[in-house]
Amino acid sequence: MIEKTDAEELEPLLWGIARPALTWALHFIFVYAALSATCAERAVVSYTTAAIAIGVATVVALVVAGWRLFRGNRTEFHIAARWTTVISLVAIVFSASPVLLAPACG
Amino acid sequence: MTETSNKPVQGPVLDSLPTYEKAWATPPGWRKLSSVSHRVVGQRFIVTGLIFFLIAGMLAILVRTQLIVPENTFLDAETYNQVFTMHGTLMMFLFAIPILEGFGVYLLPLMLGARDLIFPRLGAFGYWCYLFGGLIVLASFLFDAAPDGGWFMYTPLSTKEYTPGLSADFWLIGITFAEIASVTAAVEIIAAILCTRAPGMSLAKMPIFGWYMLVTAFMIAVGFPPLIIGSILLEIERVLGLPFFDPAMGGDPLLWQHLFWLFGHPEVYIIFLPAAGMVATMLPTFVGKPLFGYGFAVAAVVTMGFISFGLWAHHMFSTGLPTVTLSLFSAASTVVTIPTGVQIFCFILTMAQARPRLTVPMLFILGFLFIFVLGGLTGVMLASVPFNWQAHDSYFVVAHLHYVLIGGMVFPLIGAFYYWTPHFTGRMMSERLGKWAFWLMFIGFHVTFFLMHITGLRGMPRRIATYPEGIGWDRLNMLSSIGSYILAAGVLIFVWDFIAHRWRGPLAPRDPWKAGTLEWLYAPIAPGHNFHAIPRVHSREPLWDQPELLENEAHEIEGMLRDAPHGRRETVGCHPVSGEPLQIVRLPHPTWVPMITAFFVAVSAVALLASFYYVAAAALGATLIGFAVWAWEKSETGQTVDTGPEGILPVDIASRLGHTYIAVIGTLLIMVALFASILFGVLYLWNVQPDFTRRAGDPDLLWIVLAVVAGAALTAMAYLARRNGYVLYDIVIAVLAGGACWALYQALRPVTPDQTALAATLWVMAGFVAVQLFVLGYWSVFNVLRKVFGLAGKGQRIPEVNRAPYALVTFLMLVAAAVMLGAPQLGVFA
Repeated sequence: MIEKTDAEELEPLLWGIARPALTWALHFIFVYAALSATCAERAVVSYTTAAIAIGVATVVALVVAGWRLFRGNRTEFHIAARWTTVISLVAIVFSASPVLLAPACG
Repeated sequence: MTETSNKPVQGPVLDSLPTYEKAWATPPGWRKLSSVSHRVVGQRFIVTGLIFFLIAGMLAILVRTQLIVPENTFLDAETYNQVFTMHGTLMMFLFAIPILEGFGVYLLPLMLGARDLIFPRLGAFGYWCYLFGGLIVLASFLFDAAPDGGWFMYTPLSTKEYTPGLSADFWLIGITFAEIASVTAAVEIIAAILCTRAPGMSLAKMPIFGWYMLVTAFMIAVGFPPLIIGSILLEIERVLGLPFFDPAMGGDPLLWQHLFWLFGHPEVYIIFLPAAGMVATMLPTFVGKPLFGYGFAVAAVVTMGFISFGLWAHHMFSTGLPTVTLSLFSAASTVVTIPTGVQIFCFILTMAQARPRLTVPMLFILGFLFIFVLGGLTGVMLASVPFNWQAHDSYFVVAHLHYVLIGGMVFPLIGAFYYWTPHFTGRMMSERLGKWAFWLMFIGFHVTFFLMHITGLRGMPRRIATYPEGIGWDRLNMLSSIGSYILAAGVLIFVWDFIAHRWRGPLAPRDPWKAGTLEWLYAPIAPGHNFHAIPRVHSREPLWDQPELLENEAHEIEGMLRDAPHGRRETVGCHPVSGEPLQIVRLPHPTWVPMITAFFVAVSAVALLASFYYVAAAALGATLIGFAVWAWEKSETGQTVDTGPEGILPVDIASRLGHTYIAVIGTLLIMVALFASILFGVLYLWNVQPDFTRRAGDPDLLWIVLAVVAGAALTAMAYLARRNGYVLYDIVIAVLAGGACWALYQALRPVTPDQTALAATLWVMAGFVAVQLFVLGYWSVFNVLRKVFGLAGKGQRIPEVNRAPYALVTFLMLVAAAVMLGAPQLGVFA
């Protein structure tokens, strides 16, 4: 029969593994969409607007992905969650960096 | 019990369990083709993939022979184009992914403690689709119409104007067909891993191969749809003339590249991850210690699975994308090295725990580490935009991709053959021949491909049929070609060993490598049902940590579901997270239906190629009938089974934790990815070609609203129907689905699809939603018939429970399509 304790213990950890990576994915899509909106033929928004939006989205993404980074003990799944978070945080910063450093579409 | 002899015997077959053994027996003779067992289907995938590998390898030898000397006339330019195109196509689509899926199909139930994959008929259907699709692609040689536009089929080269014959159609139809196998296997693997593990095998205790395959399956579900959509768009453009990729009509050839590489780059990781999973499984065996950093490896696999989707445009650095966009993709391409590196360090630290046994599989693992790391380093170089511009389309890229793919996939795969072949055949492959194969392959590989880095840096472009003498490429090419022959000699020795060991290899003992995972519980060849009783599992390496499993005969081990007095095939269904037993999953017996259904899909594909559209439509109709026959079964929900030590469990539960529900969610993931690919196409064309937005007419707003209203009502009905199984709900849902389709059609009638690419893409989007609605309607009508004929009774509501999320997602797609159709008129997307 189902021991709910196992599932109850593991489910937050699984979410802890998936959440940072999902946040990176959403952030990446947002950055790509914002760049497409400003750099393509239609030029829906200005580059400055896109850069500001990406900056704000990056802060939000870092908070959402990094939430609970230092919590939990040393089980394998806690390690997995922590390292997914660390890798995702680096990836989010990497995704945002070209936009925040470059002055225009180029 | 079966008598032992000097020939490997599958079993034991217990005389004390006649009904059970009979239920799981594989049909003899030619009727074995009707088998749907994962053991049979997995081996079919593996052997077929190996044959495609050998054909593709022969094509590679032709390429190298042509390039061995300058100004060579061994192959003319046209044949050369066909040969390298087919080499890439066969390797990527018909060898790499299917053979790895084959290993997954074969091994996963054994490792996870299940008697079969959870949807055996789906696996069999996928195999036949793969085989027929592959044969269609290969048949192009017979008609002198082999594709010659590269394995990526770039537009405009592949459009009707520049490739007027059937060659591109062979590629587009054959490959799309073969991809059905991949996505069906993805759904099956997701559901199997989450729903059929041994009692006690929580996700934290799952063998690492399960994690690799789970992430790979999700990646296939999301990664293949862009190419499927791209192929459909290109085929429609070729057949009907709709201008998706024609800039003069508001299209864009780069849309194809985006869709292709949205698939193509994740595919590299889709190929790499299962192979790395094999390494992560084999390596601890030869070190004698568990994998170092299980948690790190899981984190690395999950993040690779995500980040690999953010790299696609690094194949498009020279297409004129804005610099800031290039930087975005350059950054993502660089960052993916972090999880890759974490994984490699897990492997290295595992080896550091003890001295590894240098068996043949271990040699191939070491070869993998050496070659793949080098390939990864040149990958980092290519992620840099300025370097990429210099090396683009040169032999440097050819060298890089072969280091990654042969190092990252072929070496682990051949190691895996040496490791798991005893499980297939009951005999060991030769250590001596294996070492010859390894060293010839390792040396031949480096002679061939390391030199290509230099050839590329000296400026030799890819895909040229010959080159002039005396510009610094002669000796390098000569040596690369000689290296390829050495590499081929290594492969041939492996193939010979794989064939010959069946009669000359020593019999494999029980757990021949002293492994810790459950597939080695029985002495090879394990019985077709995998387990007489499914044992409770307490660790990731049960054969190491639970001595009782190897101390006793495998068929005497304590566990669930010993015997099957009712004569039905069944396995334990578990909670997706905790792995605790939740239900009994009834499994199908051998059947011809998957093969016949796949055959009709093949007839449809061939008829499309031959422009026999009525035949194609009739074959599609037959396919639908095939699916209906497939699902025409009496529901067993509500029955119970005494499992032995784990008590009484229900059969086939109607729940969100049930395997069919999870399969529907996996299917919806594919559907959403397909729809998102079309949506991407709409937004892309709208964005890059603003002058064409409303040139082909405006959709009718009133009909759009009516379609959305019908979709909302349908969804509400689908959710109400979960509570009780009234036939009236099914009928209303079918009617509403038809109504929504009709409204969508009426809404789009004022839009002329052949006038602009955007209009054509909107039609495709609406068409896709209509297909979703048709599925709901078909599903509901089928439901009605099952109830009328007494196949589903009160309380047996799996179809209703599963249909609700399908309806909801379809409704959301309908809303998104409605926004895309209506917004320009309202000034939002003008």
